Amino acid sequence: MFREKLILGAAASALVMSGPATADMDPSIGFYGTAGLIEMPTADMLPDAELSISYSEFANAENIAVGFQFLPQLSMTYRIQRLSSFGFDGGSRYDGIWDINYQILPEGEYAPAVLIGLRDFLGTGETAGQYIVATKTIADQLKLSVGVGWGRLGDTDEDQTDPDISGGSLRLDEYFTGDTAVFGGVEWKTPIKGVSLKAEYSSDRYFQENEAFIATNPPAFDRKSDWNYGLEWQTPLSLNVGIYQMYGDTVGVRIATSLNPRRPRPQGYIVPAPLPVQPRDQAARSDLSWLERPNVETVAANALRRTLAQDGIRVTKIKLTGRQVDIYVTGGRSIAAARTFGRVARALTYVMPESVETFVIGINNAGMETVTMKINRTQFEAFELSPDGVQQSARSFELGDAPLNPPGFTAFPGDFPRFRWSIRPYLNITLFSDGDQPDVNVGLSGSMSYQTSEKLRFQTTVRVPVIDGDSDSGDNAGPNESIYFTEFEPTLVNLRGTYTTKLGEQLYGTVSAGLLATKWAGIAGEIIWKPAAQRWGVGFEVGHVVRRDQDTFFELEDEDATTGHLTYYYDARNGFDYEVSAGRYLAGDWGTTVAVDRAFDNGWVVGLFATVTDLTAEEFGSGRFQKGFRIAIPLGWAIGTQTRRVIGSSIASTSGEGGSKLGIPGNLYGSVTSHQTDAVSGTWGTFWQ
Amino acid sequence: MMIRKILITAPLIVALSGCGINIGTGSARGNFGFNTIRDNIQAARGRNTPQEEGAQTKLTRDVVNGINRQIVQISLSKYGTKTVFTRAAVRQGAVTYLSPQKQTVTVQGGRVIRTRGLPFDLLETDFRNDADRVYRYLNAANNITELRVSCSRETVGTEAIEIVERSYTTTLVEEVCRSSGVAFKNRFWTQGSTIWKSEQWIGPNHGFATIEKLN
Repeated sequence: MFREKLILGAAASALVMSGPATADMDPSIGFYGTAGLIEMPTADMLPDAELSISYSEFANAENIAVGFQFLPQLSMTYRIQRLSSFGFDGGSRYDGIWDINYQILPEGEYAPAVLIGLRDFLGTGETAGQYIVATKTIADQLKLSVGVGWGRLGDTDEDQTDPDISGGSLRLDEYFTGDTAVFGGVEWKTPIKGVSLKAEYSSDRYFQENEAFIATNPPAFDRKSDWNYGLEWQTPLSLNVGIYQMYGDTVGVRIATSLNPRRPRPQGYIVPAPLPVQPRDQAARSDLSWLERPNVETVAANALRRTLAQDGIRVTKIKLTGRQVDIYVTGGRSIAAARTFGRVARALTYVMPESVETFVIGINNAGMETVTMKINRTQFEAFELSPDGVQQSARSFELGDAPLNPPGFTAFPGDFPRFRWSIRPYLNITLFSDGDQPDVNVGLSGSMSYQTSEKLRFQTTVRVPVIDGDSDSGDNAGPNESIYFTEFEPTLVNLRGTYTTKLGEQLYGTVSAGLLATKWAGIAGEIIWKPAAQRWGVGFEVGHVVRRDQDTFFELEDEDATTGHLTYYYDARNGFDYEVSAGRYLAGDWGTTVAVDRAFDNGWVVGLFATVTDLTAEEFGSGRFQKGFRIAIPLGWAIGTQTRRVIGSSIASTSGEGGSKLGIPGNLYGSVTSHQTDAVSGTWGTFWQ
Repeated sequence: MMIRKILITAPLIVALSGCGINIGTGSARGNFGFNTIRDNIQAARGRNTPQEEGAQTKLTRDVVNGINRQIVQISLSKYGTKTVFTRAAVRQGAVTYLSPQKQTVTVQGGRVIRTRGLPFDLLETDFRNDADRVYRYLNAANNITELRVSCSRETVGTEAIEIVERSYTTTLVEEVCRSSGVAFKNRFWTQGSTIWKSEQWIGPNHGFATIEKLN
C-alpha cells in the first residue's frame, strides 16, 4: 500500500462552486438556549433539527440549556437553572424549565421575522415570561430586534410567585396578562471573522431579586442600567463563546455549541465498499444438476459465512430450491436497515448457482423473524449499473412479513451458549421538581449476558458509583454543596432472564423475570402486533413487581405493584413517530403517556414525552405531570464508522413513582420494526452502498 | 484490509467448486487481486515483507511497469491524497476500481458513475441525456439527494501532462455543468480514445476526483 501526498494548487481553480445566494447572518444563541440576543429573545429560528447545548452565567444564576429545533418554525428548550444564594437560607435552588418558541412569520425581503414565545411555560411563575418579537436583518451584517414582553419580561413590580400554585401545569389564563414592556436590541457581525457585538435593552426588571422577598440576602447584583452589552466569538471548533456586561453592574458569560443530524460530520460515514454484483453465465441458467449434490444448503452457508462476517451478518437458516433461495440472517453492523439486504444480495450473486433466480432475504432480530425481501436476481444485476436502478429497485423489491415457522429450512443456530461482558462508565442525573440539587452519579457499570439461543438471554448489571452528588447523602441545603466520593459500594441494577419470540406472522412477544430494574423485581411481558408495511401497531405490556430493598442485593420489601399499558404506535413517515399509551403506572395511578419523536434515518432521535395521571398535584409533587425529552445519537454518526451503538439519554423531571412505567427489558418495538418498511424505505440508498 | 478480501473470495470459490456448485463465469471473477500489486511493488523495491504497509511510498514508473493489472491513481480534492486503485470488475463497459481501503470508483465511458466506500457515496448517475445530468448521492441523514445539472462541453486545446514520469500530449476537453445551487467544471485530458487524466465532480461533499490512468 502506498500513498502520495499531493498539494492541489492551480488545479483547484477548476472549482467554480458557488453556494445559493443567502448571505444571511447565522442566528446566534442567547442566554437560554434558543436564538436570542443576550437575555432577550429574537425572532430567529435555528436551522431545522438543530440541537443546541449552552451554558450561561451571570450574578447568581446559571443555566444549562438543551434546545431542539423540533420543526422549522418551532423550537423547544429545556434548561436547568441554578440560583445560588437563594432565599432566606442562602442555599441553592434548582429548577427544570421549559421554554417554547414559535415563529409566526419568517423573515422576508422587507418584512421582519415575527415570533411568539413562552419562557418557563410550565413553571411556578417566578421565571415565566411571554413575548412577541420581530427581527430584521439589514445589509447582511446587522440584525435589529424589537419585542413586547409580559410576565417576567413585562413591566412588573409585583412578586409573580403565587404560593398556591404548584408548577408543572399549563396556566393558559395567565399567559400574556398584566402590564407589558418593550425590549429590543441589535447584533452586529463585525468585519473580524467570527466576532459579533450585541447590545440589548432589557425589560426584565429583576424586581424579585433586587427588591422583593430576597432582600434578606444582599441582592445578587445591582440593576443600574437597562442595557446589556456583549462580545461573541465563534471559535473554529464550533463553540461559541460570549462575554457580557450586564445591567451596568456585573459580568456574564455564555458558551454554546450545536449539532445537527443533517449536517455531516467532517469525515461522514465510512462504510467499506460492497462486493460488485457478480453477473451470471447465461448458458448455465438451466443447469439444475447441482441440486443432486448433498448438503447444498450447508455448503452455501459456509461459503457465505466469511463474506458476510465482514459486515457482522450471520446466516441463521437457508432453503435452496432450483430457482429460489430463502435465507434468514441476523446481525449487521449497520444502523441503516436497507444496507443489510444489499450486502446479503451481493454475496448471494457469488454463491448461488446460475439457475437461482429469486433471492428471499429474511431478517432475524433478537430471535424473531420479522420481514423478508424478495429480490429478482436478473433485475438486481441490471439495477446495479442502470442510470435509475436505485429508484427502480425500491419499487421492484417487495418487503413483507416473515412467515411463522416456514418449513423446509436447514438451520444454522450459531455459537450458543454465548457469554458476553462489558464494562463502561455511566453518568446518571436525576432532577427533582422541588428545587433540590440534582443527583449526579458517575461510575462504572459492568454487564454480563449469557444467551442460550437467539431467543433466551440472562443478564446482570452491576454499578459501582465513583462520584456521587446524591442530595440524600449529605446536607446540601446549605451553601456547602459538595460532591462525594463514594465508598465504591456496588448496586445490583438487574439480574433477569428475557425470552423473546415471534408469536404469529405479525405478532411478537417478550417476557422477563427476576430483578427487573433498580427498584423492582418480578415478572413483566409485552406483546406487539405490527405488520411490516403498516404505519401503526399496537402493544400491550403488563407486569407484577415487588419493591426491592435498596440496601441489599436480593431482599424485597413488603410492597408490590401491578402495572400495565396499552400502547398505540404510529409512524407518520415524515420523520415523526408517535406513541400513545394508557394504563396503570407504578404508584397505582391511572393515566396516559404521549411521546413524539423526531427520528432521522441515520439513527438520530430527539423526542418529547409527557404523562398525566389521576394523582392529585399533592400526591404527585410540584411537577404535576411527568415530562421530559430523550435524545439518541448513533455512535457511528459521531465517529464516522459503522456501529449500531447509540448514545442515548433521557431527562425527565421526576417526583416519585407517579406516572412512571416499569420499562420492559429489551426494546421489543425497536426489534420488531428495525427492518420493516419504514426503516428500509427511509434508508434505501444504503441498499446499494 | 484488502488482503482479507482476496482470502475471502478465494476460499469461497474453492468451497463451492469443491462441492459442485458453480458460481458464474463472469469476467469479474477473481479480480480482487490487490496482493498482486503489493507483491509487485515490494518486488520492485526489493522487499518481500509487508512491514512497510501504510508507509508513504513514491510511485515510480518502474513500479507501474511491474504491475500486470490495470491501475489508476485517484485523489479527492477534499483530501488531496493520491491512492492507487486496481481494476476489480468489468461489466457492461463499466470498470470498477478498488482501493486498499476498500473504496471503489466505477467508471463508464470515462465518467465516474458510482462511488462506494466513501462518505456520502455517489449512488448513481443518469447521463442518458448528456446535456441534463442527474447525480444521486447519500447525505448525512442517510437519505438520497438528487441533483440535476445542465452541462455543455468544449474542446479547449492541446495540453501536455505528466503522469508518473511519463508525458502525454493531450487534448483538453471541458464540461461546464450548472444548476441553481451548484456549478462545476469537469476536465478530460484525452489522447485519441484514451482518457489519461480527468477531474470530475462527484458530489457536494467531495468536490472533485482526479483520476490518472497509470497503464
